[in-house]
Amino acid sequence: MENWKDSRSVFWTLATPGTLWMFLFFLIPLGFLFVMSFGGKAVIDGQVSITEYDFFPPGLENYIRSFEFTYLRIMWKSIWVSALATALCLVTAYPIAFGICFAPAKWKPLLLLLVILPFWINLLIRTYALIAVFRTQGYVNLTLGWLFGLVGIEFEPLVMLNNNFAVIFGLVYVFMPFMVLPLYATIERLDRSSSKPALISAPRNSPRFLKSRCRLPCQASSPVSFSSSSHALVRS
Amino acid sequence: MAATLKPGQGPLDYGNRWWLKLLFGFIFFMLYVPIVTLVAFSFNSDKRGIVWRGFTIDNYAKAWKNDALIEALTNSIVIAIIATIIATVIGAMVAIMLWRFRFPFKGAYEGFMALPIVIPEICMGVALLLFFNESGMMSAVVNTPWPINLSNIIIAHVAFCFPFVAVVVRSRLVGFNRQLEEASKDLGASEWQTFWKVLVPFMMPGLVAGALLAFTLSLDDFVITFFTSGPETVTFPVKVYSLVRRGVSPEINAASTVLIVITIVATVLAMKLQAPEKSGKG
Repeated sequence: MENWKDSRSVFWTLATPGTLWMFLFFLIPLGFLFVMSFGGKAVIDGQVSITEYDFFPPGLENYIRSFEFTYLRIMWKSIWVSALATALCLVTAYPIAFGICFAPAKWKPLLLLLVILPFWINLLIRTYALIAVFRTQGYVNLTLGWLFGLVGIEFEPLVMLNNNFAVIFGLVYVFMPFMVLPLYATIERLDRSSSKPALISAPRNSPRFLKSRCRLPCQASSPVSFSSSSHALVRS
Repeated sequence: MAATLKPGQGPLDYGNRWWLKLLFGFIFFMLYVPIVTLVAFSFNSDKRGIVWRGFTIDNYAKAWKNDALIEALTNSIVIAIIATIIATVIGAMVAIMLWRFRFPFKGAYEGFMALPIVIPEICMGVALLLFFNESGMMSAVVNTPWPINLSNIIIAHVAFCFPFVAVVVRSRLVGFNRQLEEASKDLGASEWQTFWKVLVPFMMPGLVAGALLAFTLSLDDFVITFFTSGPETVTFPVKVYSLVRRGVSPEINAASTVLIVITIVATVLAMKLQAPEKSGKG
């Protein structure tokens, strides 16, 4: 690595556009948001203005208001929904990542492509596609109705849209592929021979025991780090 | 259980367990059913799109004649292309700078560059809306000729795309042998020639991957676009959102299918472009 002083002109040419862009269109807007968080609506001639703001004197009213029950409840809901979605992502992504690692070599690229492909498809389109699955006349309800009809039981369509179930399912559906890739990378890198001693010395020679005692601790670092990033994604 | 192993099956052959196969199949099924049905039902002749009534391409014709939808789709694609080009150039420059130079407060600078990746989209959207509004940039682009009225959205998209490009390109640069650069300079090449003839060809796979990422991120973005789009500019995700609120229609399916095909073709093309270099290195 060179010292930046050795070729200043190259350094500045490379550094300027990105830094400038970040300052102008990221840092300044965020700073603006921060400053405004201490302000309030301006009062002109005794009337509260809709368009004008007043920053002086800076006050903490907005912050105090944000601790009101309404906002706290929404924040809390965001947190538990994303935590649950992250946990479910991990539960569904793990078998997929595991399965790809132990799949025949010629199948691996195709399977990975199948996991990545939904990532390339517009998020809104994927979410929109879920409506057709979960609405009262959606595929799930139609299938269940058909099954119930076979047995001869009256079927009341389930409400699966516009509720917490739909939100959590949607989040898992959309973010699960993000979870598979890092998990796959970690499991793939894992030295298979490290699980062989466990297999030999394990009192019970069962794969399940092996998996829990040897494989999971090795991988723990990956899901934890990834859960947190997927968590951040979910919250955004 | 070891006792249940079939002959010829190793204890680590998890791929052959029936329960893993079943789970695998089920999760992939869940992943693809909505997308496949979305595409299939774009050919459905039923207006409400619930029951299959027969094959038709009327929905595509209707979507094609729907000016608002086509406008939104072109806007999205134009924004994505311009934002991708700018973001790839800036991102690559930042990546080269971070990889090549040692400078004071480098750690802080790196953290600063990664901020748009971790910050919630909604915060960035609101902040940019306020900024564009207060700086007069929002009202400046209203009533300007077509591609210029998209400039605010493009600026916002570049701002959240180029840090991703920088990350991707930088991870590619880590594998670069600096002796190649030194050799090139020893043999009389200038800084500029070394850059174009040595560094850029090496970076190419990273650049393509980064550009592809930026393109999808831009095409995909709803939240930031929703806040930064002016009164007269609409992108495809924003349009779909407003249409879905009024009800599901097969037209959206048709337009979505077109967009899916575009993204898949772009991905496959980009992968094909990358492929010869990889095989050349063996």
